[in-house]
Amino acid sequence: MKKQIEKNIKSLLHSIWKSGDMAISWTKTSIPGKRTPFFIKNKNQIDQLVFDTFCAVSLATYLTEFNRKEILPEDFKGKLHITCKPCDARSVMQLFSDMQVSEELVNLIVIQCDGIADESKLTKIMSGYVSNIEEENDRFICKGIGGTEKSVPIRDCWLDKCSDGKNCDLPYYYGYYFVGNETEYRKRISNLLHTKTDLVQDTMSPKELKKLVNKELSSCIRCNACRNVCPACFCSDRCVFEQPKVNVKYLDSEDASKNNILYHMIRFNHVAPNCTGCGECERACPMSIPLSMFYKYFNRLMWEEFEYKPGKTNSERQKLLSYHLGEDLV
Amino acid sequence: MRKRLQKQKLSSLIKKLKEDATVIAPVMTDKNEVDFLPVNSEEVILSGARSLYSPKKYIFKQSESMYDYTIQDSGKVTVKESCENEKQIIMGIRPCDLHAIEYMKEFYSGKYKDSYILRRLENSVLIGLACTEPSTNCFCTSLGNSPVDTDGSDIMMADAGSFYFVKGITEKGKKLIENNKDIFEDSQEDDERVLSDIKESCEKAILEKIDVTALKNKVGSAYNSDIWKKYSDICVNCGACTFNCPTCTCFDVADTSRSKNEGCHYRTWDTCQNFAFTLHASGHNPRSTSEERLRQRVMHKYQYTVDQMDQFSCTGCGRCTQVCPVGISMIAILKDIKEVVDNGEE
Ligand code: SF4
Ligand code: SF4
Ligand code: SF4
Ligand code: SF4
Ligand code: SF4
Repeated sequence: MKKQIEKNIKSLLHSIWKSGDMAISWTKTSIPGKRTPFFIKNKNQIDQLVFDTFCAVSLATYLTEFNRKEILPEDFKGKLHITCKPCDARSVMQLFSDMQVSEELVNLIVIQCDGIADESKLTKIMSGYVSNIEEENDRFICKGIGGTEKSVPIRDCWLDKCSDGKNCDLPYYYGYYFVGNETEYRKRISNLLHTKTDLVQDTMSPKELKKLVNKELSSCIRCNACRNVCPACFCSDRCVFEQPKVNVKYLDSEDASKNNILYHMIRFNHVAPNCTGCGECERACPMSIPLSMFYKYFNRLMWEEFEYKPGKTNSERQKLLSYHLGEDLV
Repeated sequence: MRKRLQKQKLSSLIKKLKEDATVIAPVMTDKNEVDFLPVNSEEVILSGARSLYSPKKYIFKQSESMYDYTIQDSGKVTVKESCENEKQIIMGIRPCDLHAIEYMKEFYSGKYKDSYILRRLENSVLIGLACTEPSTNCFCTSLGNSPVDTDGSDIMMADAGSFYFVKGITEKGKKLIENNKDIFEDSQEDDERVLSDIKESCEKAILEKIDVTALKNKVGSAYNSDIWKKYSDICVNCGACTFNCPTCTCFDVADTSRSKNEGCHYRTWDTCQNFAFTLHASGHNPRSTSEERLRQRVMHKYQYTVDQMDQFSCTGCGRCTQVCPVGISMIAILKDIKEVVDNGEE
């Protein structure tokens, strides 16, 4: 079925392609279990695109202003097609709401998704070495060291957000193409159990929270991977952490662990109002810091306070950045 | 000097070593990843695939103060050098990471000597471990290295089933063995064979092979080719690849105050993937695009250090590929370079 979906994406792109267009999608790499973003700059590259269980990278981040400027070809004059899993589509919605990319420019293609595998989880299960992965029904057949074979349920390698299911909702937006069967998709996600227990719990006292934050964030090496992949982090060269234009360091890096916490606190506060919970930060973090657990916590607070969930539509204003006339200002 | 260390004796060795040094070894973290951490004894893991993180951070720290200053009420300023002088023993270092430390040593002891790093190396005993299992992204053999290389180690160990075959390499290493000789046993005639066995099985398992040594001095010819754009387009300039690379040596320096009359001059890891890395005070940036920055990383590893130090500054550990959030593979880039070089030669 996945092969069929991939085919359908290709034929859709072929049919809507006009000269001067560009598309962002995925393609294969030589690394087992890794797919890489792929920019289609002319029509005859369409057939190299791939969609399967390993397309983990969210392409929404390439729509942020900074990235977009660097990738658009000089002769670009048409539409930017972007292939998205439903969760990634929500990040695109948020970029629309935040007016970071114009709806005129982007053509959103949402794909029926059956859960995406996290290559690093699979690698851990295989203790660091995988030479080949075959997909059979709901299992991966992986070749390990010395030709040993292991059969791993795909669900065990899912990205956290896939088993959680809270991110799978389709956005309220009528401007997208859907590839696959929408009814079937809605049925699948309504059956997801939403049972994952969160690391950061609502009942935690500030003290407990602080302890958890200190424990988890102290290993951060400040590589900025979490910031750079985040589609909700779009200040690019005007970011507080480094201001290339003026080259001022607002946050110094001495005594790493102490300042790391400040770094993340700033990011939590900046991103909480538009974090869709895509989990890219956590996936990108080379130190495996469970970042999205913290963002989810803020998401929940946001929901309790304002009944607001980022990425739901293309036009809802961020709740921490807007107010209604007559609203009580604290 | 050749010895045997029975596996059940490992913990008593570590306990003994801990008496006058910090012992650092690979352990499984609660995130199910292998990392080099200070150990007690039992938790050490000397098997399985190579650690996701290299022991670089114990030689070249993520951030460290270069000197501290205090200003007294009288206005007198005192400056204090802040490098610690503690002994450390790092064990379980794979040959690739040994090569990296060896490279770092040479790099920091060139024309300008980095006394902090050299002192730390001086105070460290490095115990290597022949590599029995590569990781998915390993390509050390492509660079002419081998999973049983001993360069850079003071002592080399190899897993021989029920015991470790131990070899004292430097004087420092031999002295350590000598000081603990009741824990070791004499080695047998053909113990050394374990090295060639490990070499053979590990090399067989390595997935990626491309002869990079044949590209020595030729990588530069791909400078103006169009291969870079393909990767720089998707690169998000995060720098995870450089921060996790055992041979990346760049740092930034800055000053900070800790209180009204105390502060320090410190350095932190920095990365060429960052826009601000090459930004001049005038506002001009010689590497302003992502393409130039990605090319810099690759050229530095495979051409510039060949020019300057006659060696690659990549050990083939594959970590950059493993951590890249968008799946950029160093081996794929090298294959593209090879194609450009080969086509240029015809
Ligand atoms: S903070 Fe993390 S989960 Fe939230 S939008 Fe950014 S990358 Fe996604
Ligand atoms: S990706 Fe991870 S290690 Fe890098 S800055 Fe973010 S939290 Fe820190
Ligand atoms: S460039 Fe990549 S493969 Fe080479 S030493 Fe650095 S991290 Fe390892
Ligand atoms: S790069 Fe080579 S020596 Fe290092 S872990 Fe991989 S196979 Fe072993
Ligand atoms: S880790 Fe990948 S995305 Fe990040 S800077 Fe390196 S090559 Fe670019």
